[in-house]
Amino acid sequence: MNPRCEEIQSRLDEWLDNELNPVSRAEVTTHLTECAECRDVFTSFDLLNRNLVGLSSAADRIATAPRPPRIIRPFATPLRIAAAIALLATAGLGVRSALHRPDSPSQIVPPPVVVAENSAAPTIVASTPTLAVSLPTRNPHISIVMLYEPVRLPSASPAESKPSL
Amino acid sequence: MLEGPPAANAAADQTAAPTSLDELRRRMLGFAIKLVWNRDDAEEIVQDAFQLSLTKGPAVTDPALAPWLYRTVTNLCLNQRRRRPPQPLADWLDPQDATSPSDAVERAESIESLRAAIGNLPDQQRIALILRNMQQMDYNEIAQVMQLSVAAVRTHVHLARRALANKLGGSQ
Repeated sequence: MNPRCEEIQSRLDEWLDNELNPVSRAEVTTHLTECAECRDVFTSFDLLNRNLVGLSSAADRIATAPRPPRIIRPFATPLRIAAAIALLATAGLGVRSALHRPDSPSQIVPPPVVVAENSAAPTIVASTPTLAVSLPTRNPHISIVMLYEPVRLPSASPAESKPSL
Repeated sequence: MLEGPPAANAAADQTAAPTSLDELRRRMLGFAIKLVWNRDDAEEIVQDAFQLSLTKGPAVTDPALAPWLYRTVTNLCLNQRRRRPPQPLADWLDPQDATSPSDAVERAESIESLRAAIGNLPDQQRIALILRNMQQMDYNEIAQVMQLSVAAVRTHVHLARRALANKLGGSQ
């Protein structure tokens, strides 16, 4: 390689980076019209630079492309709902059994309460003396009836009723 | 005949200072994609980098944030272990660059082989080349990101270009 070609090719990076002043650029261009060897070198680097721009554009398109929509499976939602219902039902049963755990055998069997159904005015028949409180609702045919057992006060002990002498 | 270096595409113009965190995030995503070539991987890496910046990075208003993020994204990309396959380039090339279908195929193959050749460069050369030619950063900014002198960055870019031209163009 002659010194002139060496000097021109040392400006290759500046030429690629567009950092050459107009005079230097004109010198390089003039030399390239005369020297096939240097022209080949510059052409290959020029092609590389253009392909780098193409590659960069492709990367920018990948970066800015809208994301593909998520695949929605049609059975996913009903299955989730069914699973949620099953879970809630199981949890509800567990909570209920924990709250209503019988402490004594008498609580296992509730006191018999019979509602006469075929009469015009329903009648509540309880086996023990019970206080019934009726709460009306918006529906005239439905009332909420709450049954209270009578309160049993503790009886006085014989020692208190008969003071010792 | 040679017409001079091609003008950078508008989308890749990274020289202006980022005006917002969203703009900074967009630049980091573009840079990460140029390193790993997979959008999902790149988004995860950028997310990790921003997360790290909250605890270890400069403040949001600090001008040093952008170089710090470039450096962090670079390290995360280089240290990435699980890697998804790179996205094929054929669908992402500009069809206007090709004059015919055969030209488009030839150009896609050429750019695909360029991508592979860039991936085989030494890390310093690869990062310097991507920042200079694909992120359109100037040498001072690249030196700040890579924590090298400007002369060292110029050398890395020069060596990378020469290696790629030798491999792809058959240059001397």
